[in-house]
Amino acid sequence: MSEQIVIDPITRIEGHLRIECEVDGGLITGARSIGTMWRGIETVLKGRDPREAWLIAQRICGVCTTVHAMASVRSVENALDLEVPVNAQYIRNMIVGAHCLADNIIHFYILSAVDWVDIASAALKADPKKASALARQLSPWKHNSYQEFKQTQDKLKKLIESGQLGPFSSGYWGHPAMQLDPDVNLVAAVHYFQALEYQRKINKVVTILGSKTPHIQNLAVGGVANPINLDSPATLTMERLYYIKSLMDEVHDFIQQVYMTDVATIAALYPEWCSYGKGNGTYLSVPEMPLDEKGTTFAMPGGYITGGDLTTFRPIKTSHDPFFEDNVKESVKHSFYKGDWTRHPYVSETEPEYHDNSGDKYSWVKAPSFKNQPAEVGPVASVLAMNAANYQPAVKHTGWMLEKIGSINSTKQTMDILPSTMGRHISRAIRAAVVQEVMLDQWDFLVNNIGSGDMTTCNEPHFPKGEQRGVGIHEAPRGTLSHWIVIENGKIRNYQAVVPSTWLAGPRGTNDEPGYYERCLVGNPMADPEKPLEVLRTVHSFDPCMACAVHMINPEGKEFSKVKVL
Amino acid sequence: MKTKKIGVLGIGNLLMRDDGFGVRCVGELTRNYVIPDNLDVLDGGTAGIMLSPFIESVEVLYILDSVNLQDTPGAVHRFTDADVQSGDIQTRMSPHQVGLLEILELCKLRGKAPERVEMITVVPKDLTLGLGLSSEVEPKVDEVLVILCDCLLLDGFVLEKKGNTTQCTNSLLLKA
Repeated sequence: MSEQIVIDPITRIEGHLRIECEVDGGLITGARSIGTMWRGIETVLKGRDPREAWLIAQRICGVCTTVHAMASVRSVENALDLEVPVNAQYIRNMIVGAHCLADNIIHFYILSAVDWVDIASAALKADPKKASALARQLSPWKHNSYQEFKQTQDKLKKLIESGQLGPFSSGYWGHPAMQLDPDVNLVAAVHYFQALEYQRKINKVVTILGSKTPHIQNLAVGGVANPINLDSPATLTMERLYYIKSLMDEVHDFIQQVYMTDVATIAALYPEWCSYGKGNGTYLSVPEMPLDEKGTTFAMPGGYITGGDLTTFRPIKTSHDPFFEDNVKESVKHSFYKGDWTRHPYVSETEPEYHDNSGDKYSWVKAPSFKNQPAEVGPVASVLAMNAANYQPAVKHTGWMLEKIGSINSTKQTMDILPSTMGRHISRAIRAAVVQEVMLDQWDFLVNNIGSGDMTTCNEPHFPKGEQRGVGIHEAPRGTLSHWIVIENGKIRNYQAVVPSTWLAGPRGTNDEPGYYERCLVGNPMADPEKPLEVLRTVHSFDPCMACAVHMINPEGKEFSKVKVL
Repeated sequence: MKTKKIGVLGIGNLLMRDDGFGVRCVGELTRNYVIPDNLDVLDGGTAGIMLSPFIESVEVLYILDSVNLQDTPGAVHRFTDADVQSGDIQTRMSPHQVGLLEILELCKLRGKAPERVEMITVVPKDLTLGLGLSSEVEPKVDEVLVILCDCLLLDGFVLEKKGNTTQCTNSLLLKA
């Protein structure tokens, strides 16, 4: 007999997502993904000055602030056909890269590791000597000493004895789907604490270049507001640039020797999760890290893949590529908005119309499509595209990762494991290694360009009379982000943000085809409907961020996730 | 007298009207007052775990925020360190979300939590999408800053108003 379970809310951050699943015979047979909050930034921006849109847009989300700032300035530049000085591109690219790495590290260690790693087992059953030896066998990382492992275990023991589990209080400890050896659990727990340190280091790069984090302040339509003057201490000097480089170098080791290695280890020990959570084989990504003024060449390729077949790869080449601009649409057939239309974002509307969710309309999230099909965005799409384009840094790190997994569980691994629940973590780690490399290139480019005497960082925008339309594309940590702007006589007439979580968490679309989470949950196992760890694993693998929470604190109710078995 | 390192952290989402109360407060604070050395002020938005470096860098932390208490909108409440530590305040929302109090727990686990954390909060009226505070909450910005100044006085800081209010360049932090 089938039963229905409801998990509400499901995200670890910024949570406004509810998942309803049908379970039959220990397997998920159907799912509905429901965005429970209205996101209507568009209505706030109407009528405003396009130059200040990014300041408001980066408040959409509390976590991925820089990405919305970036997509927003790019949309205005795209509409005006405004060139961006290369110094500004390099500075922006370093911010994009540093933010991405901080985000990836936090996502894996802080937000999803507890889906796979049993902290209680690490605290109570692991042998710190053996665990430390195992870690040293897997990686040359310098902070894998016995002392480090013993200290962390003592800390965790104390926490568990105190009965107040703090950040770990809602983990499903002892769940039958938790399969790692206690020593492996301890390796991950040690790195959990180290991850906090390294995300802080890399975030410092964002702070220095962006003047402030969260919410960078250095962007401007047409460039950045960082003055470059190698002689003045108040500006971007060589000293600061070298400090940034030292931070990037430190994080390089963490990414390669810790993050990549831990993901490979956990993937190797949960092989069945490399086949659960597959999508429909349609992937969309955009190129990132523009290298010229016009946004016609990029360091990291992106594009469209269908049928899970890399030979179908169609690159998206420039920030003006009509292949992207013409093929994105949004449907509100199953969303709480007026009408039943499927439209291009330039002419899309955001007029809420709430019903109870028993009918056709059941989510506040719109359903985007590319060439009238839903598509998976995110690290899998990006890594597949970069491999399809034979982009060497991606080919290299993908090869390393697959080999590492294979060496741990004695198998031969191919890219076929990437489109899966675990494959999303694998791809995110591969992409982080690529981003790390590209970011160091940006630093070299910037220093060389300054060395050649070019100090320009901004071109002033001019708004002609009449209407201009533009799209700002950004391959964010969670996937393809696009901001669409229509400017009329220097003011914003329409603004739509099509965000990665919309592509993934969206409801059914125009032809009633399921949204991406809905599709990927079907076929997942479910050992204990009261503790739906498996649903969390698949949904968390996408790194859901149902943007823009009210983060309210409520002293009355200790209300956590409601799991309802109907 | 040597003072401790103090942090003032305003949190909330400016796009959700009264939810942005804490952020408005720190905007007004830096605009209208001379900020002495050893006092760090941050508009933290809703950045969650990314706020941990700031939190770990201070010895005493004041958090300005909106809190949904059973009280009239605009009511100002203070939570002392004992209240914050008691565990009676809980972050609502997600199954394993990293809320502010969980971040404090994490900082504690790392042995780097501030020695004292206090909160000054307001009860929100309007949490719909939009810029600007409701008329019930707007006047509470000054009230909360006065309370904050009193608290800081006990920590050895005398906050002085700026002679000439400088232009705030970030229009979002101003009254919409």
